[in-house]
Amino acid sequence: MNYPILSLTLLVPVIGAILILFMKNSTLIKSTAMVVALIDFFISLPLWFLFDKGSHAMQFVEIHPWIPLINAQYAVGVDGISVLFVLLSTIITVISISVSWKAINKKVKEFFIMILLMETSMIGVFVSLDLLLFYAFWEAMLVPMFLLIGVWGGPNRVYASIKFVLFTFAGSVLMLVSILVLYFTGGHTFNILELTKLNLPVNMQIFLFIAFTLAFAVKVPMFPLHTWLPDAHTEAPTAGSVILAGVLLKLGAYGFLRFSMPFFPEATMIFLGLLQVLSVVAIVYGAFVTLKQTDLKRLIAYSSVSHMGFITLGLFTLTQIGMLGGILQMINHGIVTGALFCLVGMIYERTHTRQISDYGGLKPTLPIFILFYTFFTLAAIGLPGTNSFMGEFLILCGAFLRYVPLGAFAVIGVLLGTTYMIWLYYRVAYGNLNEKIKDLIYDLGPREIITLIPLLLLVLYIGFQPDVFTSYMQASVSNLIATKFSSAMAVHTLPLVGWIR
Amino acid sequence: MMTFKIIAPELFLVACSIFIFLSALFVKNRKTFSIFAILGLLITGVWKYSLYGRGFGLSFSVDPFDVLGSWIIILIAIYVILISIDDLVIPDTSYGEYLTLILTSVVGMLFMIGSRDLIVLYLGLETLSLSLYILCSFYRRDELSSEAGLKYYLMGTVATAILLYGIALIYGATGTTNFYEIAKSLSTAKVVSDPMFIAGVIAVIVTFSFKSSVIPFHAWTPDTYQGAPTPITAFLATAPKTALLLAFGRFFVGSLIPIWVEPKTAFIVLSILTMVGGNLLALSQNNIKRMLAFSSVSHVGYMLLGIIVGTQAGLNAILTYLVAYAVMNLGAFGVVFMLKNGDDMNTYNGLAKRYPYLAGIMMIFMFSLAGIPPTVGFIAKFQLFLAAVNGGLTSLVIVAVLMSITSAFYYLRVVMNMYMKEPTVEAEVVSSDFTKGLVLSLSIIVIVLGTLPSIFIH
Repeated sequence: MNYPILSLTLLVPVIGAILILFMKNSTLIKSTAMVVALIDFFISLPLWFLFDKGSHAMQFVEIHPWIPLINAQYAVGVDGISVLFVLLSTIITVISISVSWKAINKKVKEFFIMILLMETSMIGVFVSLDLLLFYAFWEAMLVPMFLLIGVWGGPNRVYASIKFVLFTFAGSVLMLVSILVLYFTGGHTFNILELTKLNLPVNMQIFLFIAFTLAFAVKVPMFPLHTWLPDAHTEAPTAGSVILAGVLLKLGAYGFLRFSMPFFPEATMIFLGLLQVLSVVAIVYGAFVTLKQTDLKRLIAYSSVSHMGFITLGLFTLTQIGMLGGILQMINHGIVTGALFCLVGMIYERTHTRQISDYGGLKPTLPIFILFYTFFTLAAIGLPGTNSFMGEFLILCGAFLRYVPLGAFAVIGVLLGTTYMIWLYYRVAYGNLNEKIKDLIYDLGPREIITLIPLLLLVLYIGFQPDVFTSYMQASVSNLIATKFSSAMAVHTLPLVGWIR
Repeated sequence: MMTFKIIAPELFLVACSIFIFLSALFVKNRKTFSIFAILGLLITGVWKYSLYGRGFGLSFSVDPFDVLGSWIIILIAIYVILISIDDLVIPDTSYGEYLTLILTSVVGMLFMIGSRDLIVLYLGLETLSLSLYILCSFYRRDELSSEAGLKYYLMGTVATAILLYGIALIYGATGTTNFYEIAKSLSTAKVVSDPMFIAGVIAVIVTFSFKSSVIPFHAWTPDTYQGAPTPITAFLATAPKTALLLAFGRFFVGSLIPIWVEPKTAFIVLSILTMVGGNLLALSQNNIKRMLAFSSVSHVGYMLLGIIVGTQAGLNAILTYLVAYAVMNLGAFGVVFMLKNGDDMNTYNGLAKRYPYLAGIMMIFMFSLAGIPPTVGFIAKFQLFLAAVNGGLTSLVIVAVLMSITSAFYYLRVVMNMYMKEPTVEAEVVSSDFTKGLVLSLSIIVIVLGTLPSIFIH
């Protein structure tokens, strides 16, 4: 491996976007976007094969001076936590281009440019080893997402896009101030690895932790900062929802792992209880609100609030098993919810309605659609053998280890989750075919099937072989716990992990 | 004779402007004039490079900092001349005068930047202001334009009068008008507590606030910006700000540092007022030139942070900010200028449908003004905040950052109108391909400097 894999994955989409800028024919634009995304996916694949799972160090590192005057660097690299997310981003981009193939008819050129720019900024966030670079990618992401929601979204898109931008922008600018403070206390460096080694005074940690965590909590989103999510999800075009669910929401949780916890371990311990409670509230509250949704997309959006609650709960158990579960669940949620949004998008393309009451009786009429729909519903519920089962199980283990009531409440969320998914499934698949949509529906075509198959395979792969995935993260997670939270956590590195390995 | 060498570039520019003024009586070709004026400006800029040093006692000096500032102004002037070439609203008959006035205002600004003496600063400011008063009301038959000029004139003359008064008081207290001498004289406790001196400093601060539209001295700004011809609005929003911030910044930081605590408090208050007021007032504007006017007010508020820090690093951060600010503002005004009825917000509704490239360019400028990466606006803000946090102004930076969020509202509104609304009025591009190219290249600069900032940060 002698070529800069990470820089290439960052650069290829930008080049693709620039090429598309000069194209006129919409088929050509779509094909170019697809080819570029596929190339990017194949460029990122070696990360999977060449990654050294035994090490917690950053790998594939590239460092070049960026703004020498203030010692900011173009520094990229991946560890066991971020490597999977880079791959997830490249896969999700391919899928979101595929689902947009027919759905996007206006401003085609701009749409695919935005998707590709989105890809670069997402990957950039995961691979940055320089705080300033990280922040630049983090903020740059707002631009394409703002337009994706605001231009190609549903009827209420303008409101949703503004809400999205202002929530996330407001969340993250405070982080900017904290970054500056860190820069000066850390001895004029933005290097994340060096900053991780700092031992900051506790009161400073608390201030900085709050600022960083607010930014991440908005992105996750954690209760009570989640209100932008249902709007953004509901109004976004299918590709936008897929990217939001697939990758964007993961950035917040990733931020916790990469910054909040290692930079401010003492502050993390101080706020741990609060964050755990908020996670559980998100699980239960999110699930209850999901129960009464009447809009397909909104239902899945609210279920995301609940699922993200699981993820943050896993991370904030600060047990190895819980954290592994949390990270695994981040990927799972990206795959399963992404797939569900794809399915909703596909059916919406045909009927142009998202009201659950307009559906019903699809089972006999759309066998292929229902096949996939059943499969991903079961995956969302967490049927053993699917990926979510593994994730939820590990998170619950972690939660019970940490504090039994936490686990007990989280289990309520699992029950409610099953309820709303089954209830939704029942109303869409069974009963009589609704007259309104009778003449509109037809089954999935080859392109749509091909879009969904990789997701389906991933669900099964992770479901049956979770250790393949957890083995990537294990070294990094253990290292984080060992270096930062050893005293608090030693008890909870349990043999259970050995069981799933 | 040797001392004149140091202001030779400025004198040369004066000669150029006189030449253009006189030959305008006989020649009526806009292009020839414009090329001549641009050449004059370029020669002036290059000339300045060879002239590091001091002259006229210690009243005027040229260092790399000044040269960089001068180049910002010169490039702004060139840009404004270039976009005015095919602006038919400025009649052929008075085009020569138009150029003459731009050149003389540049002379004024160059004097301001090089000044190390309050009297020189005053002379530069007056030269600049007199030219600008006329330029603002250059559409003689347009009511708004006349109003713009008149308002600016009335406010501006009061401000300069106050400045003169302040200089007199400072002279009375310290016996000198030179920056270095003033700083030296402040070592005696008698001067520091002299009410005459304090009143003088207050007068200087007030004038500075008037001229660079710091709230609460900003009242003239929106009307003047709205009424002035768009190229002049672009000029007004960028070049004089550069000169004012650099020249007065140098005075504040260079002379008042021994007693920095009091002026600092004043500036903190002014800065907060300006950031908050500018952004809140910009929120409700329906005229895009007025919106940009208020937003430029708020940008001055951010830049004051650099002065408050009270160090050379702060001034350097301001310089970076000014470069970024000039590029993105000239670009935004350029787009406004390119459209028929470009100052009406409704013109932008659905613009992306008819002119996707133009809308894309405008979007880049708006995101840059809001400070979202990867644009130069982000890098500039970052530099400034970095200097401010380093100077212990974290809480002020938090205010600035919160105001940045507010500013996102109105900048994004333009983007929203362009991309997410249906066209309500027919938008029409009225400018030449040349102007289009110019504005396009500015948008590229915004992105390139935003991703590779080390090009201009040194």
